[in-house]
Amino acid sequence: MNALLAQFIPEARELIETAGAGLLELERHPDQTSLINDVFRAVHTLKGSSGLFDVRPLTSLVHAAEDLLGDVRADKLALSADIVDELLESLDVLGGLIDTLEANEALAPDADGLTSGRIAALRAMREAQAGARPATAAGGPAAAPVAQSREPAPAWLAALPEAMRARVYADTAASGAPLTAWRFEPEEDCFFRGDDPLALAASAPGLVALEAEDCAPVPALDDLDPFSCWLRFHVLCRAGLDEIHEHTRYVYDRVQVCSIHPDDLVVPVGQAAGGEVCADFVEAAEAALAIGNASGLVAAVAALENILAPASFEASALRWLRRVLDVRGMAAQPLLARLARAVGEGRMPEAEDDARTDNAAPDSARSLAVDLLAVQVAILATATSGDIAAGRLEAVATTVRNALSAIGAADRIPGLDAALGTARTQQHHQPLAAFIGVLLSDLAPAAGAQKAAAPPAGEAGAAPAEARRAEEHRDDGKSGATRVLRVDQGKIDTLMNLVAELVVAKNGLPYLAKRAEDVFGSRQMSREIKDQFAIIDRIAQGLQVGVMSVRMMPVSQLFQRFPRLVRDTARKLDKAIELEIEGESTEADKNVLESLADPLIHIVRNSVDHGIEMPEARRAAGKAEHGTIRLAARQENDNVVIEVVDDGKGIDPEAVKAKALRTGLIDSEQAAQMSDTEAVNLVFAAGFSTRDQVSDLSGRSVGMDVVRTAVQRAGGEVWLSSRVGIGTTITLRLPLTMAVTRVVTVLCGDHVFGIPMDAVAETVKVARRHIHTIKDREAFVLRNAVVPLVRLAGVLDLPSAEADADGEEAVMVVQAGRRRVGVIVDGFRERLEVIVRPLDAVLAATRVFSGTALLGDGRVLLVLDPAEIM
Amino acid sequence: MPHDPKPHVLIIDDAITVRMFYRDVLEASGFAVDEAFNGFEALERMAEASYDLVVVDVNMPRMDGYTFLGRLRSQAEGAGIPAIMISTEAEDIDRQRAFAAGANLYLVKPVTPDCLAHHARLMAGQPMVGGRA
Repeated sequence: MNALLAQFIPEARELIETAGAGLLELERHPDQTSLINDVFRAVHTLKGSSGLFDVRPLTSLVHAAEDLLGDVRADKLALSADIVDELLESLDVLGGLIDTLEANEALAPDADGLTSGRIAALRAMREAQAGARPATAAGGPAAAPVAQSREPAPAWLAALPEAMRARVYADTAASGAPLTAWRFEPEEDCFFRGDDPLALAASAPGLVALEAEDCAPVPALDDLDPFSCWLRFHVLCRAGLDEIHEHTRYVYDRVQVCSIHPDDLVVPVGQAAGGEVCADFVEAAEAALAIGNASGLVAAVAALENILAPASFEASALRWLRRVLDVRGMAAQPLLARLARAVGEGRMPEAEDDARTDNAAPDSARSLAVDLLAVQVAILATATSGDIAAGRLEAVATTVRNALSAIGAADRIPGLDAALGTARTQQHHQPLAAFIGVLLSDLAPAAGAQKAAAPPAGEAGAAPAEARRAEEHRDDGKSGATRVLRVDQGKIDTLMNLVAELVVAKNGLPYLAKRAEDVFGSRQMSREIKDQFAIIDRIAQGLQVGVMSVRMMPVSQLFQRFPRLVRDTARKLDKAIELEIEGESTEADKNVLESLADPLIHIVRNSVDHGIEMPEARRAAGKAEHGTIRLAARQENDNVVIEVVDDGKGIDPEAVKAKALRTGLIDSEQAAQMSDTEAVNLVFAAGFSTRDQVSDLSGRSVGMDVVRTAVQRAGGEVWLSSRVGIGTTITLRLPLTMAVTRVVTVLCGDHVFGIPMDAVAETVKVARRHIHTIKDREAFVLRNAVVPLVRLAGVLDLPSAEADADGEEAVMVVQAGRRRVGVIVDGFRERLEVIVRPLDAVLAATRVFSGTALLGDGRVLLVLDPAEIM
Repeated sequence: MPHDPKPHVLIIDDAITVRMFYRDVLEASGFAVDEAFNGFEALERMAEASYDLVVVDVNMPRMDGYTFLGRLRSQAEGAGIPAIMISTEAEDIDRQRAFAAGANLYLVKPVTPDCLAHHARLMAGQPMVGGRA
């Protein structure tokens, strides 16, 4: 796969993920402007990147989604659940396209068919609601930055048709998105090199306008060389400079690229008519502007427009006045004032000779921004409490983002957002601080010349101190910037396996030391081997921890799909359900999380489908109409524990028992003796389903037994507790990693077996006289609780060794879920770290053993499955 | 009628003259201004409307500026609104406290109109051409 595409695919997935999560969040908090901006930006970035490849259907679909989001963002459209549905569906389709792209390095031939329907649906959404504007309390979009410290806009902008400029202005002025103009003059003989200049221009990222013109007088037809290129292109793109440079990298010597500001498009054109009416207008307009009277201004414009010829310069200026007012309102006061004066003077006055706007000089604004950024770095470096940290991180990012767009450095915003994203996932401010550090070092030299200026009064010397601190931080920022490396998972898995092998191989050294002494009679040699073993042991452990930490992922990776799942399922069933997520920063091994994905989906679906009641039923039961499902993750020792809690109708143990009796799972005697907890946990038994009718949602053809099997295969366990009318809690417990298992080895007769340490609660010696027989079963009392006993020899049908002469039994208390059982063994041996390999072929059916492991001396250790012993 | 694209700022100070002064400065530089006289009322305001910036005093009755900022930063919505804290204390310890509470800028009184206007525009993402200050 080419490197660019390989880079694009994970980026695209991330952006689709971001947009999806943002949409769900936005649906819950529709008036949070930052959210719509996040979603829009993600989609916009995706559009820009996809333009680098030949994936037109994909780009068109992203474009359609972006247009729709743009309407929502500009308050032209209220975000309805239907729109969210459409957008989410489109994101799903995009995800599918990306999958295809990864597999085949090209879109499938039917990609057009997949996307065209979606595009039509998205367009329909826009048209359906066109004109219906919701009133929101949200402040309007930030006005775009004023052009500063950049080359003047190219003169050819004015030559572009006014209607086109107006359209682009309307699209870009409000958004503050970067806008780039470029001019492309292909070489005359470019066709002979297989170039397609028109396609290059037309496929530019974020294309908003494209004009072609002759670059020289075209000769008469007889003299015309049809194989020469006579064209020149003018292109406007809603993209950053870098993106355009990247796009045009093969023809860089034929293009002039320049970053422009939407205001640069505001150029009235035409022949000036002049006249008294225009002077009157200027007076009226300036009076209206002075007091911020927008409607007065509109009235004055309309009055004059009726009189002037549409082709005149003044009419053009008036049209621009209206457009600017429409898009940016009174915030664009300086530009509006210049346009008003243009009507009087018959030419556009320069921004600089407008004495009535106190322009903060570009450099001083810049140095103010640099100081502000330095303060943000200092803020991040100040310790704070956990509940404030996340909000503060967002506030710092917003402050920096706003400062960048205020000084016309909006092209750095995508980088900022990427750093913010990393900081959010890592839940640490470092990535953001590092990025601001980079910004400081990029912006500071330009501002440096101004540093001599005294700080504004009122800061009491804060800025210089802050700047000094920032100087120190800047070095940190440079060296401490997080370098993220994308590594193929296969490579890490290989490493992990090697490490696991190493951990096991090192266990061979103690045996070697023993042999050196016993067989070869060299105690000295034996000691040296042991010393060496200690060193290798330490390194191997460090290596293991290191590689493991690489494979650790936050549970959020697993949880992020659920907001969508719960929302869609609840909508389908007309239920109202809130999903709460807790502890999503808890980390576990990637494989463990992946093995959990399907069981969790099943459990959550079940909660939505069977747990939470219909709103009216909840109301009748005196509960809140909104059901709540809580997904919580936490770490306990070497395990990750995930709970799915719902406040639904709960599970009736009697109903479960009745059902189990009917299906012959239990007999009536068992039913009579069963505790409620044991009864509800019957739902995990194979082939059990409490619903006689299968609904299409939960896919009840597979029941909770599949969940249990999957969890157990990953070395974990699952149990359920429920109270009728109150709700149900399902708890999953899994090891943090699956690669290496710590086992205790036990003796049984003259065999050695392993038991996973996780399952062993404790080991005790119990005097034989303390072992009682209750209902034909042996048991003993451990700290006031009766613990049933089983003899391992009995379970495995092996001859048991003689008990200790002092009449004690070695008992290993094994815990699985909530149950505890004492297992009587003939003795304990060492604890080992082993790689448990599942039993295969003929032995796979053996229930008592979970697998085998290779010991250091080459023998095979059978590892017991604690749940089966019980 | 175009919708109002003005950035919204909330001024939080218990002194009415201070609020009037800030209001004049910020309205002149293109902001739509709301006021609150303590942190408590400010939180209520923020539940009703969304703001692009808050300017908050330290010492206020019922809920001071630090507490207000801490609440704002730890709430689910609008936690990321940039905040300017204006105080009479120039000590480093007070500045640290403001940063820990979640302020994005700490200014010490007296604050000049220009200093407030420029920082406010910068932090609300407004192009750096003030109205008449």
